[in-house]
Amino acid sequence: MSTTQEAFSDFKDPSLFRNILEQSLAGFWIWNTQTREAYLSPSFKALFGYEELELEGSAETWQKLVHPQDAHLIEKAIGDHISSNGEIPFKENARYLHKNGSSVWIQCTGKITQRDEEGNPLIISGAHIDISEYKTQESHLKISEERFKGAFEHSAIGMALVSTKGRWLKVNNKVSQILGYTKDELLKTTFQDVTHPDDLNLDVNQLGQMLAGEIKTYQMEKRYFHKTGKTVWVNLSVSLVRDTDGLPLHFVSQIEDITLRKESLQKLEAAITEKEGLNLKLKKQNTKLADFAHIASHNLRAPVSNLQALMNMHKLLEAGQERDEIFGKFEVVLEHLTETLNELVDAVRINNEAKEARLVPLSFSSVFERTKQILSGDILNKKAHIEGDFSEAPEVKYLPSYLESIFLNLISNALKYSSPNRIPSITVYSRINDGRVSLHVKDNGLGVDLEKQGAKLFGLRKTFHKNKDAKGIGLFMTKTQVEALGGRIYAQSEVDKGSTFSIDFNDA
Amino acid sequence: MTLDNMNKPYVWIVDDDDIYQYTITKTLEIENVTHDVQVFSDGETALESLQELAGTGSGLPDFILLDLNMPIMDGWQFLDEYQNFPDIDTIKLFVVTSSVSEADQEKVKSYPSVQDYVVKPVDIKALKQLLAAS
Repeated sequence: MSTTQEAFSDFKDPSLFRNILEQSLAGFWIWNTQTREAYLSPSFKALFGYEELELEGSAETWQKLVHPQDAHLIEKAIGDHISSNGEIPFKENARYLHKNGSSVWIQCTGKITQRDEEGNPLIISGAHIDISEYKTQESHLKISEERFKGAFEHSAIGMALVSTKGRWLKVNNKVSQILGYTKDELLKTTFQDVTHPDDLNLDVNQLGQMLAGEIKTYQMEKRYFHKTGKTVWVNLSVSLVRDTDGLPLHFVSQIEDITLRKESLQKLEAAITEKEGLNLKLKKQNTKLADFAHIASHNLRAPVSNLQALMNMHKLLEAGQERDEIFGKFEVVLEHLTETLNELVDAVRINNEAKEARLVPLSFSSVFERTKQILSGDILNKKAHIEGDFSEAPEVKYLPSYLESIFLNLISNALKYSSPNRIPSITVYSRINDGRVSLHVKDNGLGVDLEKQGAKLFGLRKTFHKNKDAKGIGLFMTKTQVEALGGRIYAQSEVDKGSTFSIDFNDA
Repeated sequence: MTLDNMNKPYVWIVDDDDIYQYTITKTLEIENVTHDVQVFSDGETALESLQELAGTGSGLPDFILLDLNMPIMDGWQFLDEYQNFPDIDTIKLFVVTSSVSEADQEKVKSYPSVQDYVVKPVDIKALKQLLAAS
């Protein structure tokens, strides 16, 4: 006899057997189907909180312990086992009542272990195992699963499980509603397929960072393409689910449709931009009107009041030499008035012309050469040194007559207000900045104190030097022409050092 | 020059408009309301004269009729400098301008040394009253 067999025969020793049974967590029972006597092991009684002596071994005790609602389950399972003559195994889960009133989930198993002389079942024995903990976990799991499922399906925002490669694994109704695809259609695609290409990189980069464990979640505003092709704006929040070993399982995406919000915002922004543009235009027009009113008031009122004063004097005086003198003054004032009116008419004409102006490409150097010819007498008289450099921006699209007048005015001003203490030196050059062409006329002349005179530099009939030729028209007309075509004119100057007049042409 | 004349005011005209210069001086002459009239074509030359006279206590005008719209140094710049001079308490300064701008009229009020704002053309009667009030 081998040692194993010896041990096995020892195992058949009832006391040893009983010992093992009592140490196990299971409770054991033996039932005589005919006498209805029963043996319930101490561990059986302990399952329900009873001491060995508190319960007697009988079918009635079992009846008392089993939960009234579950008794039929056990009865049926035993019945099936018996009637099938042991073919159908007896295994059933049922609730029992603990001494303290709580329920205990029990897995009941048993088997016919002895038959009578006719072969009918006599003894059935089996085990009860406490499965309450397992049942509780199971029910918790079931509840949380159902809760998740409910939250997932009925969420007000789109929810999706997405594979680490980007395939849609599970989507709720809202996602199909946002993207316009049925669930089945979506599950055949990846999120990359329906993402706007401009937003794809950022999205993919962040998924990568999450897989690498660098970030836990991320949120972004992005665009998807709806099945119809239109753009859908969403607010996307993504987190990653990992298994117990920390390996990535899948992403959980929350997708909120913000298209309406985005579109309203864009419309609002567009409206604001439009309004700002309109305001700016109105402001410019208002400024022009105010300028014009100012010019009219200053430049027309002065000669008219002079006429009035002369008229009054004329009345005061007797006929004679003095009256003739006054008459001569009338002529001067009227001439002055006519000139001013003509200038104002010119200014209005410039603004009207500019509205329908056809701009043509003009060469700076050829306009410069023509201007030098026109001013050759002055240049010669003053022995002025004058040079042009238009290599950086050789051309500008402009109205020919305006560009000629701009060159003429700025260069003749530079000559007129040259310093008697040095040889006049004038440099004319063009620049290009952000596609915008500018012209600059720099001299070493008398200069102007811009702090004092700057605001009036380009006004009509403003002069800043005791120069008998000064009429104050040139810069006013130049400004009118430049602004009528959407550009601007400005100056830098230092008294007795020189000035630079600059024009930024319109970039249109 | 009569003694009578000595009691009449000494007036400075600060204005670049030569027609106005002519009409105002001529009118003052005809009306015989001034002791003497001095004309400056811009604020700077008037200020230079003021600088020379300031502190000497003599030669200062009784009246200044100041234009606003002038080259080189306009009326505003003149006023800014003028405020800082000593002895100007005895001088009555009037702004005389063709500007009817409300902004200009308001701005003038911020200069305490200005008596009043007169719009051109100057009414002769009003001018006589103004100069007689000294």
